Amino acid sequence: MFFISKWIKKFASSDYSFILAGLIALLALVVYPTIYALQLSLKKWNLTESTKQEFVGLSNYINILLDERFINALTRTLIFVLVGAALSLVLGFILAFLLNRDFPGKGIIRACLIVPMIVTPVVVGLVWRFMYNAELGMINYFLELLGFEPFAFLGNMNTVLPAIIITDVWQYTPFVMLILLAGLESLSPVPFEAAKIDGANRWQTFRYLTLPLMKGPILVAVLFRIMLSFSAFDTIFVMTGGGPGRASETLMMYVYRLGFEHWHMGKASAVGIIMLFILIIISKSLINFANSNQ
Amino acid sequence: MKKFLIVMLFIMVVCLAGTANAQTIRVLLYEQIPSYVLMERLPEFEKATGINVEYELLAEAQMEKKEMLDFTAHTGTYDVTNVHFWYIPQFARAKYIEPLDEWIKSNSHPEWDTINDFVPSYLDGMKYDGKIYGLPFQGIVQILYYRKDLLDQYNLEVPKTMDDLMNVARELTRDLDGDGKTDIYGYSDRGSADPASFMSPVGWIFAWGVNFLDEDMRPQLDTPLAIEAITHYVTLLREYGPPGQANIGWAEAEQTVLSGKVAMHADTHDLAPDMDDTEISQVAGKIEFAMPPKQERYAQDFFVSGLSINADSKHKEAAWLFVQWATSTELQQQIVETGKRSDYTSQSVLASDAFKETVRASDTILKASKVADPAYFPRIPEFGQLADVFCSAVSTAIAKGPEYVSTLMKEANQTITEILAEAGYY
Amino acid sequence: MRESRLKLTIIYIVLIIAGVIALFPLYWVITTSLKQRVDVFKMPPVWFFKPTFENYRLVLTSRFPGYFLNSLIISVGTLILSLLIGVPTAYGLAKLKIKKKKDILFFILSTRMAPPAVFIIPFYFLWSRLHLIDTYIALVIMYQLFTVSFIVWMMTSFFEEIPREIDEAAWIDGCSKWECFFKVALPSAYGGLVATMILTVLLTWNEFFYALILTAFKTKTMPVALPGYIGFVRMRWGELSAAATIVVIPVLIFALIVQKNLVRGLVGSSVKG
Repeated sequence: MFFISKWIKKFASSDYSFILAGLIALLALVVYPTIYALQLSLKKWNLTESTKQEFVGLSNYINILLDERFINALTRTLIFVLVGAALSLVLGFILAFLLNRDFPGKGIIRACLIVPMIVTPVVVGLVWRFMYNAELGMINYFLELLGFEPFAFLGNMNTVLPAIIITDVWQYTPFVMLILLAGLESLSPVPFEAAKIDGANRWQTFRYLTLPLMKGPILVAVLFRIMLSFSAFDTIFVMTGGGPGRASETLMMYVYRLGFEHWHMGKASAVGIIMLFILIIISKSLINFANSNQ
Repeated sequence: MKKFLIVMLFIMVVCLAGTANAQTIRVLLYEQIPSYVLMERLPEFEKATGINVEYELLAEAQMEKKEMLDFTAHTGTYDVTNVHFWYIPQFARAKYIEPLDEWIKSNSHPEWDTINDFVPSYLDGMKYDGKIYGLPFQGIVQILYYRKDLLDQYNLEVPKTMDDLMNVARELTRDLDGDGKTDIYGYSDRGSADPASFMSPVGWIFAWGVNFLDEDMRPQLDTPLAIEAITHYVTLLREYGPPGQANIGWAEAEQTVLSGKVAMHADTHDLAPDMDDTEISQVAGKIEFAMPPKQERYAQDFFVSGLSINADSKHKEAAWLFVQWATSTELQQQIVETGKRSDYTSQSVLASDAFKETVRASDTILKASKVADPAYFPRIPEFGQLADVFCSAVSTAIAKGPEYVSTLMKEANQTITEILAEAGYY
Repeated sequence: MRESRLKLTIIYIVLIIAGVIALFPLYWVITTSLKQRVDVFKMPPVWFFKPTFENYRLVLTSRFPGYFLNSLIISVGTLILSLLIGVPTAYGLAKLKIKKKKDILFFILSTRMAPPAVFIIPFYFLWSRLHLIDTYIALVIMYQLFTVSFIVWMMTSFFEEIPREIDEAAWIDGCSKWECFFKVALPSAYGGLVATMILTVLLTWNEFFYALILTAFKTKTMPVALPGYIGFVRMRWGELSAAATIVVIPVLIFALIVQKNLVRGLVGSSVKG
């Protein structure tokens, strides 16, 4: 008895007590489905024949990697995610800078700026779908007022990807902005005053002082923004359903189609594992890049 | 007479209910007016049988996923679900749903027995391997919606054949106010790449006499007739359809008609009440109905959805009572007088005066129901993949142009052949 | 810091433009919810119209308020649980000597990378065997997968920004590690905490996939109910917009309340004390 309470006391005052709950929770949640998904990815399983699961080894992976449809989805997704993240970063930073001061109405403006994230993605998709509509949509209405011809953004294979990127940027830039703003606001003014005294100009201050200090929040913002984009589904599904043709079919949409419309859960699991792999590579690269620039 | 029958029914059911304890069954339906109307009448069922009904309503696509997961995991959460006719073969084969022939033979309640009154092709949609796996809850056929005022204005006849349709559509695509922009388009239909658009182009090639799959399960998309059919579809939509047609689904297509931008549209008949609904339609009263265009056969959009019993249900008897009640001629007769639905499955109801009085398109619907044919649709478990490939090809063709139809159809045909080969059909 | 008049005006203009762009779709949704059905798709758009509350009446008298309550319970429950788990973890990783910190952080990040479509199947089987489908607990636990990684990464970076001197001062003062955490670290990182809380709520408030699969009659949330308004025959735009507006309001209120307590910079709170 005595030993246990002493052990508990020692544990509670140790550093590891802080992180234990988190690690156990996450491990418990993640281990089972990952293993399940891994073993499922090595099988052929059509959900409409629920008891028939056939072991096929790596053939799912090989089929997928050689499949043109997968390559298409991969390319689309990478463009979608990386361009969207870059745009959000730039816009988010600009907005965060502008908001990084006290002025009347700040709270209200900030609340307004996060609205895009609050509207349910399905509704976002529907609203933007109609905004892009050539006959009935607002965007074309304004274009016509300015003298342009109405254009069917979502019906054209070349413009559909930029169109959904714009919607995605609209939806998730507030996410980036909020994180960067919190980061800017928690910076101590001391080094900045010193820099001013030393005669540094705006750009120098930004490049050599702000950026390095903001490394943490920037990394968080970019990493999670990428993951939000990567798993974006409802909005795109409602706006284009992956079309026209396959022009806006992202990996997420491809997985969904495979698993929940074609019911090929084995193959879908394999794509899921590949997606996991891709995300790991992207995030590791970004983290290394951020850490090396110091 | 009716009152007497109801009393008899009540007594019969009470006796039956005495043997079955007061139970609760769970029902999964999708969000649509027929479901709401059914739910409104639940108290009648509950009073007559003593069975308590818990229901869940989800959007259609969501409902399909949920019921599929319930089936696969054999959790038996839902006793009765909506099953669309294209899922019947795969669910039946996988033994997810209960075959109803025995129930029909031995547990049928005289008042709710509609088995001989269902439209035969609707009931066929619920069959697999000769056995019945669901009772048809709603049957929807394709009709042609057209602007009578515009046809009259330009002295045009109601199109009957595919060629007529193209000609009339051409005539009705006009710049009405002379400002250089087209104000009205001749025809709109489903062109988007998602599988929800499948029915229309599939029904189109059916019109040319081609079945999506032949008796050996080989896809027929690369045959000259199929290519001709799709070229017609693509040309029609590109030339005389509103811009963005490659991304237009059934809802937008309907909207273009309701807002007066498009003159004709062939689609499921249940859009008819919307046309006259002044709350959403700007062309109320101007729309008339006709049989869909015919080439060799009538184009199809036919859809029947039924109620099936979960094979893992623990309350099959109660579930069966519910299924019979919900699809019975008697219930349909009560509802038709309210005019809230138009997708009945009972022949007597479709031919009834009440139907004629409450639904403006009744004649057309009745006629179309007689030529409805579930065979236009490839009802195999892999249809989702087929729809995916096909709709993507059609949508691309609409975006790029009719010159591409031949290549796209040949590619699609090849892909589908590979899919079916992998699935073990040959 | 005093800004020049001109600078301030330009800033205002840019922010207002940004605000309009951000709000416009919501504006469209709100006005649609107040319009009669025919007006919704009229082109040119009807800017002035007779408002109707019919849509709200329809939504509020349906099962929707129940879904609202469910969303509320689940989001709040998730927020509380993930803060309890995530914030101390972040502190530990930021301040204390933990081995393999980078690896642990990366592992935590990777939990967020799982595509829901693939993971849903094993989870569905698991929860249904435990008979926990359609319970609040199931979803609150599932959502930890979305939230904990985010909270840990956010708060770690904010805790790391607290200068060493402040921590050391507190330690020298003799508080235990947990006391330091509560009395010094949390208040200093409050700005980050506020942003984290707002965004965490947002991550779960609109979540659709897991909610669809794991809820049924009793716990259905609002995002699952919304596509139901996109019916087979007619899109109920009016009700959809009314429902969508109702979905937005609580989070807006939460954000406004929570950020009112924002303290600018850590200089104010910690150096004085």
